[in-house]
Amino acid sequence: MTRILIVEDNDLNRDMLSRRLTRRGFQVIVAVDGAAGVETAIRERPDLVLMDMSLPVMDGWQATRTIKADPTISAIPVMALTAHAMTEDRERAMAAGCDEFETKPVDIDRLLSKIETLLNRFRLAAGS
Amino acid sequence: MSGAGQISLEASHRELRRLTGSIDTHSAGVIAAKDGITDEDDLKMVGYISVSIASLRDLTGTGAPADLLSRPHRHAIRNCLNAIKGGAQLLIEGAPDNGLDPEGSAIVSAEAMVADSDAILACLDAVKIGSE
Repeated sequence: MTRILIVEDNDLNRDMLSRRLTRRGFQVIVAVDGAAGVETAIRERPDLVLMDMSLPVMDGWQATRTIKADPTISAIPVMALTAHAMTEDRERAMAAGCDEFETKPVDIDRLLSKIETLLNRFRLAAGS
Repeated sequence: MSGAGQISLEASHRELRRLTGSIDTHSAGVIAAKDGITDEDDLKMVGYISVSIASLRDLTGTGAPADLLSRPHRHAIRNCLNAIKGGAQLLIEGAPDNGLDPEGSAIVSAEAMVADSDAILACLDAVKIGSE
C-alpha cells in the first residue's frame, strides 16, 4: 500500500485530505508542522510527502530543503500543496526542492493524477 | 489603478458576496440533514463546513474590494474553499453508506456547494495579481 505523509497544520484540511486519500486506498501518515514532517519522513520513510508551505515551527520551504539535503530521505518525492497560488509561489516551492506543485482548494482528480505521475517518475528513476 | 480596473474589482467583490450568500444558503440544506448522517467522520465534515462558511462570510462580507488584491486575504479564501468543497465532496462520495440518500436534497445541496465553490474560485482568479 502506498504511504503518503501529509504535513499540514490546519486540522480541517488535514482531516479532510487524510480521509479522501484513505478512501482511495492510500495509507496516510500526518504531521502538524515542518519539523515534525521531517522527523516523520525520517522515521516512517513514506512513498510521497504532501507538504503545506505555510507551517509553524519550520515552514514547508525549509522542511523540503531539509528533506532534500538528507541522503537517507532525499529520494522521497515532495509535492507542495498550498493556497499560495501564484506562479512565483510555484517557482519558490520548486527552488526549495519540491518535485511537484498543487494548489488549494484541492481538485482531487488532478491531485491523484499528479501523485501517480510523481510516484511513477521516482520509481522509474530508482529502477534505472 | 485605472477606472476600469476599479469597476472590475468592485464587480468581483459584489459577485463574491453573492456567491457566498448562495453557498451559505445551500449549506443550510446540508446542515439540516446532519441528524441523518450515520458515519461519524462524515458528520465531522458538516461541522467543518459550518465553520468554514462562517469564515468565508467574514472574509467576503466585510472589508473593501481592494482586499481581493491582498495575498493573505486570497490565501484565507482559498483555504476556506478547500474545506467547504472538500467537505461537500466527501459527503457526496460517502452516500449512501454515510446515511444520506444519493438523490436526496442534502446531496443536491452539497453538489450546489461544490459548484458555488468553483464559481468563487473562478471569480477570485479573475482578479489577477502578480502572475497568479
